[in-house]
Amino acid sequence: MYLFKNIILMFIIIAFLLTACSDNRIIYTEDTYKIGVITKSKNSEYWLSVESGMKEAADDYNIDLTIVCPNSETDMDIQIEYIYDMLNKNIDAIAISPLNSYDNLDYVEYAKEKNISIYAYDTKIAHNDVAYIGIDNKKVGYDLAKTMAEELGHKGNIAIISGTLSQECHRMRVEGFCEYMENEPNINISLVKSGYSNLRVPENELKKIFEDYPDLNGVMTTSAVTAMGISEATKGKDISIVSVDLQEDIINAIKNGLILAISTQSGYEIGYETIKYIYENKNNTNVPDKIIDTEIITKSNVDKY
Amino acid sequence: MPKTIRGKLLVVIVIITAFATISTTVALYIKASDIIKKNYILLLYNKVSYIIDSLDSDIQDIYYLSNKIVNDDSFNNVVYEYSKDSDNSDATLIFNELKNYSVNYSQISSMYLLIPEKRIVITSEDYPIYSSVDDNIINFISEKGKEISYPIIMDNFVNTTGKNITYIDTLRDSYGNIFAYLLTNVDERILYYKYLKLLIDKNVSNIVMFDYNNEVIAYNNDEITSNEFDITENIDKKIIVDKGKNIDVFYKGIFSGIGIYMNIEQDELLQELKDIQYYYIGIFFIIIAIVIIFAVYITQIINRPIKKLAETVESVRNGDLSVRAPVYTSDEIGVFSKEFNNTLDYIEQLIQQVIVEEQKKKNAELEALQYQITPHFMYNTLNSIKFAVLIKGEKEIGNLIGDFVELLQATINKKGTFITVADEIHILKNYVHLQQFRHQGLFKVIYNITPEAERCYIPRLILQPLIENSILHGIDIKKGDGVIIINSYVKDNMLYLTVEDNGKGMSDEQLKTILVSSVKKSNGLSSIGISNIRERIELYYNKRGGIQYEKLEKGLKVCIYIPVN
Repeated sequence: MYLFKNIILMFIIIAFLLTACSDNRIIYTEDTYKIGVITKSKNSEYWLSVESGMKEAADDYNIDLTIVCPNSETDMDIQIEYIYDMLNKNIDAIAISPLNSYDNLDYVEYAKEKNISIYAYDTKIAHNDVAYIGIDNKKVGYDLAKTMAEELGHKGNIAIISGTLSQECHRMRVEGFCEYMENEPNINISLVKSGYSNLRVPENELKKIFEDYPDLNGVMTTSAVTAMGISEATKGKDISIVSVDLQEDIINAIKNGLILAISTQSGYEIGYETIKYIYENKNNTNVPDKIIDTEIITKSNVDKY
Repeated sequence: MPKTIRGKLLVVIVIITAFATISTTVALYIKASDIIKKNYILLLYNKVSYIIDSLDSDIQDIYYLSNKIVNDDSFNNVVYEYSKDSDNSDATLIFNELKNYSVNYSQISSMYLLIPEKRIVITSEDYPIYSSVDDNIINFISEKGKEISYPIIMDNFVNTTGKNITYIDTLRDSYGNIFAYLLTNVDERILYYKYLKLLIDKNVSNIVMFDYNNEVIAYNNDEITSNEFDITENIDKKIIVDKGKNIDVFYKGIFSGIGIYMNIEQDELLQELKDIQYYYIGIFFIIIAIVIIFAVYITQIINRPIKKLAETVESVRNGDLSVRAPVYTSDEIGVFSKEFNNTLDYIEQLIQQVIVEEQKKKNAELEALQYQITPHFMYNTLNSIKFAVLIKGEKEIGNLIGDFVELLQATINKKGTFITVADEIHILKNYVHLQQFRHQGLFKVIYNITPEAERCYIPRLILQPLIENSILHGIDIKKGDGVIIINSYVKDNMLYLTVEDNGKGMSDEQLKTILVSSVKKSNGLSSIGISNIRERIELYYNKRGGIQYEKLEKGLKVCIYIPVN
């Protein structure tokens, strides 16, 4: 009987221990790190892929994410409003892709007052205290120029149709492109027309360009949407086009030889890396820039995509 | 603890099974209840996040819309004109715009355009113009409008019933001065029915919706007043806390700042878990019952060899050496049974050996007893002497020698242990002849043998020592009046042989010793003594036969009685 009692006591203790093991108070929680994002627009495949990348990163790192998009990239003032509204919310960090990299940067100070970490992604904010996540736009322009020069046999006339130069990314791409072309004495940059950020050049304007500059051999644009418009308009003419942004239609255009080359800018990757980088540096100050690699895609390596 | 091995086995089997079953079911139950709980919580969380995220998104739509309206230049101009002028046609325009938007966005209950200078509000509702807006309200709105980018809770000052969640936006002139406020309202009732109610089921005991500033917008339980519920540090998070009987859910939308706090009783969940518990307990008892049935049966089978062995041992203990334990198995019990059987065989063998040896010993002794008489040589020599004497003409001496030879023959040749009474008397007569010769016929012997008795078998030389005794120690030879009477008769299946004499008899002491004395005689025919007779009778007849001495008035009587053979 003594043995019995011992055994039964042993049971009870074991059972008790087992049940006591599972004491979970907090079951499910999302990390309360909140990030507000301002994009440039909601209208292109690029921005949709940026959003998608960001949401994926928010899932992976348990981040509370809210995204506000201006209607189009021309709404500079509205974007500033959005930025301030976002800064008035209870967030920990804000990520902005500015429509104007150089002016109206008071919000940077405001963000500091509110103790909100501020980051620029896709396009730089020209302020020392703002870390940048994105591609090296100057290098992109440089590499594209190199590809174009080789294709044209180091001579010819080139038109640059770029996005708004108030956006640092477009400005830098053009600068990089021109910098390279300084080494090519026989290549002439006939014109630089800006203001077409993620927009197609209207048909009449294009017509005028080709009338004014009939000897164009190549066109450089700083965004894929613009490039696609131009490639359609220049069908049949032997004009090489280079651009930026990874989109499905432009990949097909490269495969079909309509477009010479693009520099990859994966919206998804930029979106994902931005959120990830911000989260990783949530306790740091003086965060350095994060440069995302790019690649020049031509017909030779387009099959990778 | 039971006494039998079978009992112990049974108990141990049940205990082990009980232990294994209990620990398994407990572990499984804990795991299962864990999983069930986690799934429940996950589903709950997904439901809450879906609903609140869609609320957040709806609020974001309002944000974009409001933004669009206040940045619309033509609308701006109309309002600006109206703010300076109060032209009714403008008001109608404005009212139509507001109504349009209100109607197209289901989450918007109303839109108010407040012109603080005129203290007029144009609404999207049926009675669009509302004047004499209270200064407090104007101050409140202008204050909040500058600071906050969240929708805020406001009493409906136009309808004076109910509350709204209002997003305040500003219309500015070219100098950046504010001349009007656009208020986009979501009635608290819409929030309740469109979002909050979807979260309420029978498990929800409390649910509260609050704005960015943790002020209560809507709730389900009338007993809760504004700030009564326990605001903890969790209120700005998205978190679920398991408090045992209850679950607390906190979820706040990041864009709108609108969040909910839910308190859920886990009764239904716990009931489900209890059901599982009962299920497991039921299973436990079923298993134990089955195990007991099987164990009873199996232990019986296992125990059988042991039981049979125990029975065999019991039988042997009670004296029956012929039983053997049946051997069923080749395990330890089987080996033991086999060896036990072998041991019993061995014991039986030993007993048999002992019996045989005893028998041999007895036989040897008997033979030794029997053959104390000298052998053939003597017999032949005497025969020669007899013939020599007869030739010389001494008939009497020759006869005597002949009697002597017959006596010797009778004692030597007859190998058999048993002879007839007749033969024994014959030997006796020869002996008597010889003794009468030695003692010159100074005594008489009378023979009374019934014909029945003559045919009975008796051990040889059973009477002769008795007569010898009478002659040597009983009667007085010198006196010459000695008489020995030998009787033999059958009565009641018993043979009686008596020898009486009228000699001097024996003292009591002598009588005692004579039957047991093993002193070998040296002056008789043989060294067979009385004790030898007694021994032999005992040997052959056990207690059924015997020898008795009786003192007579004059003389001694000895009686031998043995079963008739």
